[in-house]
Amino acid sequence: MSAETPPHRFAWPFDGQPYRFFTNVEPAGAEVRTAGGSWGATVFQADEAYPEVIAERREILRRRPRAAAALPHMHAAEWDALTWVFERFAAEHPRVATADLTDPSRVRWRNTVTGSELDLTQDGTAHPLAVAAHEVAEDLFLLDLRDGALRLDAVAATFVASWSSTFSLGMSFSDLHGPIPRLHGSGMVARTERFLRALQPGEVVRRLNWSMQPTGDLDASVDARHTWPGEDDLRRRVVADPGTLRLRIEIQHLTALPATGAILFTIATQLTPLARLVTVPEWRDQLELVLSELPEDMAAYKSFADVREPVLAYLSSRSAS
Amino acid sequence: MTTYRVAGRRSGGPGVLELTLVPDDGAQPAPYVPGSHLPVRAGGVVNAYSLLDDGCRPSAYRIGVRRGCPGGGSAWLHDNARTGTTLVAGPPRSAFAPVLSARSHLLLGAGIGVTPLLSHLRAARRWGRQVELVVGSGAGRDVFASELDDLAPPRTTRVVGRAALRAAVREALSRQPIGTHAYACGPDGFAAEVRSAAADLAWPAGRLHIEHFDAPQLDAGDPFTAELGDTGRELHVPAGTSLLHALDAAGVRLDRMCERGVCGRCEVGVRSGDIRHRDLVLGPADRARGDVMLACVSRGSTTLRLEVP
Amino acid sequence: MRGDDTPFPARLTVPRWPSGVPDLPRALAWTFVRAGCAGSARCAIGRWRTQEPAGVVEAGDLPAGFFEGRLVGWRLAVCGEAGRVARVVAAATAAGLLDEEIVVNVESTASARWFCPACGATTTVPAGAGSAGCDGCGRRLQPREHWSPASGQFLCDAS
Repeated sequence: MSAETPPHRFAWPFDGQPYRFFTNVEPAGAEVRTAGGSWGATVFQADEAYPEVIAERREILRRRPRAAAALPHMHAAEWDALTWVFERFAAEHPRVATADLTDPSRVRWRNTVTGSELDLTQDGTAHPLAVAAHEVAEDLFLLDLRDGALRLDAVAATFVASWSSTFSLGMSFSDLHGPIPRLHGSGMVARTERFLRALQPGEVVRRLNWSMQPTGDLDASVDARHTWPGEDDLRRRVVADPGTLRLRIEIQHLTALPATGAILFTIATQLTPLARLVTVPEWRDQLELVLSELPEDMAAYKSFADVREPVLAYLSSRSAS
Repeated sequence: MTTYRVAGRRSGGPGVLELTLVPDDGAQPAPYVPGSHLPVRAGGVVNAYSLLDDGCRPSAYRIGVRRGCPGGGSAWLHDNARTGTTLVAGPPRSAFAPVLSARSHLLLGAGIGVTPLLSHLRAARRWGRQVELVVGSGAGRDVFASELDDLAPPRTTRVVGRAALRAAVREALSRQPIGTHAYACGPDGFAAEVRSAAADLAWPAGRLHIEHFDAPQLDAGDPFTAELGDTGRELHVPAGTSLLHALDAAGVRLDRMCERGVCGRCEVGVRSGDIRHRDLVLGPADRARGDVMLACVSRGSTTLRLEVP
Repeated sequence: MRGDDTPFPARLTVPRWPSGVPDLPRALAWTFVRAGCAGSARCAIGRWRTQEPAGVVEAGDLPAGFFEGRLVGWRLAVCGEAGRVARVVAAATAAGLLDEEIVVNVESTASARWFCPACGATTTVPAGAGSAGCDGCGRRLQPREHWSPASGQFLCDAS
């Protein structure tokens, strides 16, 4: 599927400075103005792409049921997540959905877009996180403090980028970030984990992450890679037309759930081809600065090291000056 | 910090006061994780009090306060908190939460230490958790007795006196199925006894959780003065106000993101003065040099002279 | 503030087993598990038995009900071949044991367990293999240097 986010709600991640990892967390809910429009007023996205994204989400969950999985002790945290997600979504998008949570052990949910009418009870709902994932466009993850570390103990995710959430189930926050360069020696993972452990219910924070992707697939997980063309094919396509390369944005939200203290992590994914982004001159300039300067190990991690030159040439050819 | 109004006051047993607090502005109180405490400012000091309910969609906060030494915050509350009294408190903090992966939960309490266990018991009932309770009190000094009668799980041991409690705790610790987590709350001596019994029985440290009635992680701090660069301007930073916000009020806006001492964006240079660092960003070398601080959480223990444009 | 610009490499998450035979910490009771343990010179069971009395279980897979009736204070010590030890440790962790309740000695490394991202199946391969067919879907698997202590498996790319 080729979902494309138009510039007017694209979460532009750069600020005119070279890019390095840093713990870029901020309180959620504040709208951010960009050169192309704005983003960030809500945690959950229910825009014009929502019905299409939900349909794809459900198709992947049907085809690959293990995309939603949880360790047995996570039922309470999953229910906690379901009620938080439904309540927040309904508050943010009252014309799309309503949630009745008068009794904390029961949820009644109506979604006018998906047509869902659910009457769920805490004890009678087998996989609450999966139920929630059927109704929202975001990937959902639960982190639990177990044996001295935060661990990824429940997932309901169909749109992850270049990693496998199914493989990562049960892994510690530190271990599952192992493959990312420059993160460990700098103490950033430990610092981020300390921050997450200190989150308290009611606080919702967010951060952006970005990478490059040669196709428009929301599902770029390791689990789906065997359905993709080979690396060489993909590279040839981008070299032939660098404007088709996508900037992939993850809008990540984090909160501590009120009844269990488990950490809920949501990721909304946006994908837009460079050809569309460079129509905003400020973005073209900032992208050129970031991509030309990024050290090789990070460029490899962001999936564009082997097409850097043609992409820079393309960006330069689109310069207004 | 939020202003709360006392909506109810009643006895929780000899020398123990139960207060019900509601936000003064009529808002719904924030939910909290079972076992959380509320940092309350009373009589000029901040003390942490355990919240008694399970924290799910609370309509009010209930806390249990044991009369402490004269001049302390708890004595002040006993003497002064009446229905309608307003109090300032920070948000609830969770540091004694039930472990989700526990196969079974053993709750151990002495005296006023039963208060966070009441919160655990309510949560255990909600989620159908397997739980065992051991509590002890002084003769005739039962705390929250009727609430305990109501919440006590089938496996409950209630004893009177220190020696009986010590024996009951040791006996319970000796026969818990693997996968159990134990939670202990009580006076310092009790915590030490539980620790020692658990060590004798080869309990791994990771299965034992002790509630300390410590001050909250970030207290309001003491007031201090900041001098702004070469301007000669002086800024008063009151207790409970961050340097970052004090600078905002003075028209000096620093970059920021997390306001939690994590992202490092509100770093500000310091020319002189002693810094009380409370962030998670600066390393030992930065701290030793003492020439930078994070304005969102760190404070001065003397007057600070800042590098401010 | 910008992050430090030192190019720290990715932290590869490969298994890190203890290098020598670890001593047993204090416990109320022990069970020793031979997981593909060949009783070679590097076997720990003999030495552990001089330290603590314990039942010894022969198992690649732990028998059903193995953890029932165990009390806090009991510990597990596993000796054997890396791939099978990893499997026992994952099962013990899933049963709720903490890191400090499990002692491990790897006597040899002869096998590894691979996770197929295409179908989710596990394939056991000889240690050091560069690729293999997936036992579940037959696709070609190539391992990454990314190992999960939770499952005792390496993540692979499937093609």
